[in-house]
Amino acid sequence: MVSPVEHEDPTSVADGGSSGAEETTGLATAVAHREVSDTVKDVVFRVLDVSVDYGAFTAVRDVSLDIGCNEITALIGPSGCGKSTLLRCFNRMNDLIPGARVRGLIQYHEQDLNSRHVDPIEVRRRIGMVFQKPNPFPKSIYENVAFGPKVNGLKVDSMDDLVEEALQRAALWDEVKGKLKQSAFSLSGGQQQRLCIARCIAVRPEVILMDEPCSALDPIATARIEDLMIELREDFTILIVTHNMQQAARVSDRTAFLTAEVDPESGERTGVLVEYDRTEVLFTRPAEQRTEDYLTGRFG
Amino acid sequence: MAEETRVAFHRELDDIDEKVMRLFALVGEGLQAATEAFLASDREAAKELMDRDKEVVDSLYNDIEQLVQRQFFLQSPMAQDMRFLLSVLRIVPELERSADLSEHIAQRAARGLSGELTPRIRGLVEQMGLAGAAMWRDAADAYAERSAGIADQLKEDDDELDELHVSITAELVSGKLSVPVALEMALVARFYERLGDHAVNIAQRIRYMAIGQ
Repeated sequence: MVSPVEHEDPTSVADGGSSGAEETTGLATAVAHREVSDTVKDVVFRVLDVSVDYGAFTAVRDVSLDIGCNEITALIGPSGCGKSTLLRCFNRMNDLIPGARVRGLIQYHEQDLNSRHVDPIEVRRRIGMVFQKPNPFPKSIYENVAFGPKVNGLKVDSMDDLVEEALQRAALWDEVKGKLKQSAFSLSGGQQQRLCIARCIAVRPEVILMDEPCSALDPIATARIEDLMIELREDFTILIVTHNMQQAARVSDRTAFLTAEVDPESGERTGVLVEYDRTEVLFTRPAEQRTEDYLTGRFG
Repeated sequence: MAEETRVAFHRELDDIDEKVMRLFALVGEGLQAATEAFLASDREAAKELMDRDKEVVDSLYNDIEQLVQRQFFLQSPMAQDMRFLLSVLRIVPELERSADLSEHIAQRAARGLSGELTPRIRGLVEQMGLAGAAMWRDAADAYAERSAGIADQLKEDDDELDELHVSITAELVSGKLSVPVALEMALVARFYERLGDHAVNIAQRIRYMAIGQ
């Protein structure tokens, strides 16, 4: 099996692929909603019967779904349903948690992501992550963006151009171009989160994982990030975990609803996938009663 | 499992639902009362009906529209709640218009039109009234039960109403009535026919509300 490291990727630096900055159309022209096929046609990730254990505790059980290329896929569900745990499977972040074990199969471009032949560091370069709380490095704005390409040995003609491109695509350039040497901590929360997105896309990943990227932001900063996601969808595949159902409805092409099943004896909560569909369908006419109950707040 | 959340929102939805059902009842009862007043040339009953439409129906209609608008504004409804509110927003203008049509029939009753009709036309009006009232009862039941299947049945019932409309029109052009009476009667027949169309439209909205398509 060929590992993702060896896989020819159209977005990789090695083959000279474009990261698509030239085709960026600007926020004002971003189109939130578009036609999405009923089934995922261009599969980036194939998830088959995936379960995640933390020691003896099963956090997520038997999840199967396909993630489509250049689509935004939202993972929604109540607290403790395993959304973030599942998200972390897509770039092997669970490897970093002691006692964590992923069962089942996650294929990335038909290759087993958890194969021992696959380098998790390279996986995380191709599959970047943006976290709930903006976490810029204690460095300048410029260094935050340049850091990833440098440590990954990305060969670029001009680091300045790469930093500008990443900041442009993260819709932050105009706000920071005059103060690139200033500390990243001088930025507002929303700007810091866009800096983290710029940092993520600077290493030219194919996929961006976002774990509640707007939960620490105000509505205006949230709207900017949402616009940005729709813009970035043209060149990246995006998975987002969000508690905000309206946000999932606004930005995503497909939505997976997970819930927690409680073991009556042990009281342990295990996340299960209830329904996965086009976002428009899931939010207007969900097939499963549990989805309907969650969306409308009619539990019990 | 967690208990129900958004209790206040759901109470508001129940309130809207109850108001819509009252509108359904008013339209159904109004149509039946208008037909009876028309056939009996009961001016008092006709006037009462006309007043009621202006006050109660219009007031309910405005209330419901404002309540629905508020829920969209405040609650970002989803799934069945969104379909319900969207459907109500589409159904209530049909109800209000239908109440107007019953009122128009009552206006002709107040003018004593039925006294100048032939027995056959009176019989056809009675049949249209019965068929229309039955359609509206079924539409109201379907709304209350969120029954998606009523749309097909009401389309068939509407065909019957259309045939009665054609029969009345044929009778009117036979020249047995004076031209002013025939013109008024043609309008009355048209009102019944439109009442059937509105019931069919509503049934389609109920279908969307129930199953989302």
